[in-house]
Amino acid sequence: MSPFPPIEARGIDLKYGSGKTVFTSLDLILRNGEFLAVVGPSGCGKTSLLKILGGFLQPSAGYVNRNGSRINSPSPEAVMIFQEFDQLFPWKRVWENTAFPLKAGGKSGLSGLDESEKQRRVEEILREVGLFDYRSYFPHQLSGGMKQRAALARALVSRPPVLLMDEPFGSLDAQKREELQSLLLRMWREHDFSVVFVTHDITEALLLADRILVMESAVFGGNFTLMDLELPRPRDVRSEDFNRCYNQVFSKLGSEDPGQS
Amino acid sequence: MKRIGEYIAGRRKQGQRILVILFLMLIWEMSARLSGVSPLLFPPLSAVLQTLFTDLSAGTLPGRLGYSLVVIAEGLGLGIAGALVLGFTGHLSSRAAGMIDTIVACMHPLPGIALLPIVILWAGTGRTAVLLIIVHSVLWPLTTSITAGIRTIPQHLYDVSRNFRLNPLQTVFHLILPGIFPHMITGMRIGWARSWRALIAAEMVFGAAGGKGGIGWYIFQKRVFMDTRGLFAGLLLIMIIGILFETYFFNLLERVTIRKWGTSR
Repeated sequence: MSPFPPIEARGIDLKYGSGKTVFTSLDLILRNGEFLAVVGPSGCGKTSLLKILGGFLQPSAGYVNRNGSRINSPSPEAVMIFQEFDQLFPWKRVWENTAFPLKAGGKSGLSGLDESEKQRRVEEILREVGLFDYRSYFPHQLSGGMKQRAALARALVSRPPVLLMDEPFGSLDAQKREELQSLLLRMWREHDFSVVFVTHDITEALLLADRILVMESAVFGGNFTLMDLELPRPRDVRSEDFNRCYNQVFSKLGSEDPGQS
Repeated sequence: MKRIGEYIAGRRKQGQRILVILFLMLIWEMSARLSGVSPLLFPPLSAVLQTLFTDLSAGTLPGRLGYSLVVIAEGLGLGIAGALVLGFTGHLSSRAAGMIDTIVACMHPLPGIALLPIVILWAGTGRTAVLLIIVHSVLWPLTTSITAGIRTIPQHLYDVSRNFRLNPLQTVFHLILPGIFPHMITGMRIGWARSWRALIAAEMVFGAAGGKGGIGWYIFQKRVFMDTRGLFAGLLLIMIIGILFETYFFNLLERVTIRKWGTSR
């Protein structure tokens, strides 16, 4: 295991083009193999933070290291999964979508795997997410939940050390969301990767994460707090500790009312 | 079930179209025969079909038609290639995009036929001139389609491509080309219709160089000899080719691509 954290962000400032400051001097060290949730009201810069951590977006100040070296562009080492269902290539079947990271160029060295090993990995990951029987379907023939399963399979097929997830289950109905949450937790336990999981749903964050980064809205100064969750797994929504944590996070988020600003 | 429904609906539409065509054919035949107008001005359909079959089997018309289709295929190919180059250049540089937008806006409203005198001056009246007119009529609308197509590819797919470090060539073949396909087909439909018209117009003005000419030249000759049946036969053939391309070629192309992918219905 690398002596460096998979992601280390130092002194990150984010200003939008209009000059509006979203947050300043954010420090974040992602631990090896941890599940970190980021919660906050809409507009607090959660998604932008995720994009900065992934190298998709340059911060106004500060830097991001991955495994000890500076990044300024996305890489297959930290794979992003979006909320929207249009992240699969519509013209590729589930199998080709999933196999794609193994064929794409890049420095991950995976394009050098021999063909049978690639096939084996794709089949394995598709079975794990329960889509092997749907391997020859096109994305438009899948339900929303299945599309997100496919996105998860594609993200994990190259065994990246970091997964960056932007409200991946936000557009699913309650039942599908629970299914996908437990699938994600199972994959996370069985494979060795860290997760940064953005959500606006406190319960979801408490169900999944080891640590929570709470971001306040910019109108309150854009403060942020890192909280370790000492809750035992599997998490129980009805337990007293869960409730206590919920209230703690809730109070940190402050009022939804922007007030006199 | 949905597919069967679509299939039946498609069949029904085709059946209706054939019925309408048969009805129109009947009206033509009847009105030509019953109106008492001289067949020299308005020949009945049967006579026109007879001429069409004679000329088709004699080999003059297939030759003319083949000539036209080859020229049009070349023009379309050049137009598509040029439009792809312009579209990609605009995608890569926003300064170039502004320039290309302006050029397209200036050139697009110019009918090919209006360019004829200039084209004759520059390229004479041969095949090159016809080709130039066709390229002109395809290039601008297709560039507009391709530019629009590139802009409608979801941002997430670009992000995914960056995430997996696609090289530029992979980005073109796995993302941009399939992504712009719905718009490309629309552009190609417009381009096909325009170039088909431009071709015939150009041929009728230029005539033929060195005894070679296409379907426009065929009509032109028939006019010189006041062969009204032949004139109508030429028009009929143009319509038939147009319908065949529209219903078979483009629909087939859509079925094996964008409808299969669900990017268009």
